[in-house]
Amino acid sequence: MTKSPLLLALALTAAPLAAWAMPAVGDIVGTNPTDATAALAAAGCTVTEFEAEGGKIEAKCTDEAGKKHEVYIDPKTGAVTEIKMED
Amino acid sequence: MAPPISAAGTGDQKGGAVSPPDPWDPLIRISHWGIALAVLANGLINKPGGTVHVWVGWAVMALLITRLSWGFFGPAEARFSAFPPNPRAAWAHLASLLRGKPREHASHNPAGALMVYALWACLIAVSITGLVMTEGKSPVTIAEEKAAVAAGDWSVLVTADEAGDDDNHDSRGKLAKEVHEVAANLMLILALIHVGGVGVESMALRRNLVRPMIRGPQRTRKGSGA
Repeated sequence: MTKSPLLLALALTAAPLAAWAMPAVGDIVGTNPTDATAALAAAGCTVTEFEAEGGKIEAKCTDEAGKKHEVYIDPKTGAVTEIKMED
Repeated sequence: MAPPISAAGTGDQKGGAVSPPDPWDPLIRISHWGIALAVLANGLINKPGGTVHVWVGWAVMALLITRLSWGFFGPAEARFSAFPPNPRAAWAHLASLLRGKPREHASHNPAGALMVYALWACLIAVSITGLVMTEGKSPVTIAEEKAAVAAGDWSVLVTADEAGDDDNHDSRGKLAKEVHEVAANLMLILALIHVGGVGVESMALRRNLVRPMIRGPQRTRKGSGA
């Protein structure tokens, strides 16, 4: 536990830089739009739209830096399967 | 390969025995322009994976199947036997084109024929991978699913997704997507080369090769460039 303050400090310092990587593949964000919107918002990405694509849910969201992401969610498990960044 | 009649001087004779028909068979013309428009629309305009994209894809498959069956049952110039794939003849044709004296052929010239087969191969690859990516769902089903998801109901995708092993399923989908995109881009490049080839060949033959693909002969009419 002695190193946790250091880790915490690192995490806090790195957080703004890591904003683009907030939601991660494997995260469980939910199997309905309400849960997923909340989970992605908590991860720093504001959802603008959900769309069906290739059997997955494609969530379009904007991070704090204003960058757009496409987060693919498995509608059965609620897990993030892929994240793409839009320019 | 059957030696074509080599005299370029027979060019006076339009739509005769040694040059492609003027005009081409209606089914060839319709499938040609239909597929051309669809490739441009889906390749450059329509949103990938969107309902319109899938509809256009299914329309292309119908056109392609019709055209390919015409290769067996259509008029002589539409049959595969009229333009067998022959790379050596294609090179010879390109060489004769460079010398400014391309030979006439009763159907596609050998270089054009190779292009036709390459484009068809791309179309088949794009169609099959498109079906894999959409799990063979019809455009109607896809539109319904999109509407449901847009309305907040994700369950439509869950019930539909019973393909078993999800990992396998995902990697197959990714591979299909890669092939779909590469083949589609290749097709756009080939289409550009095709257009260039038609231009060069038209100049060499001093005959507008596009017109017979659009409408009937206009030997006597003047100034009505199609």
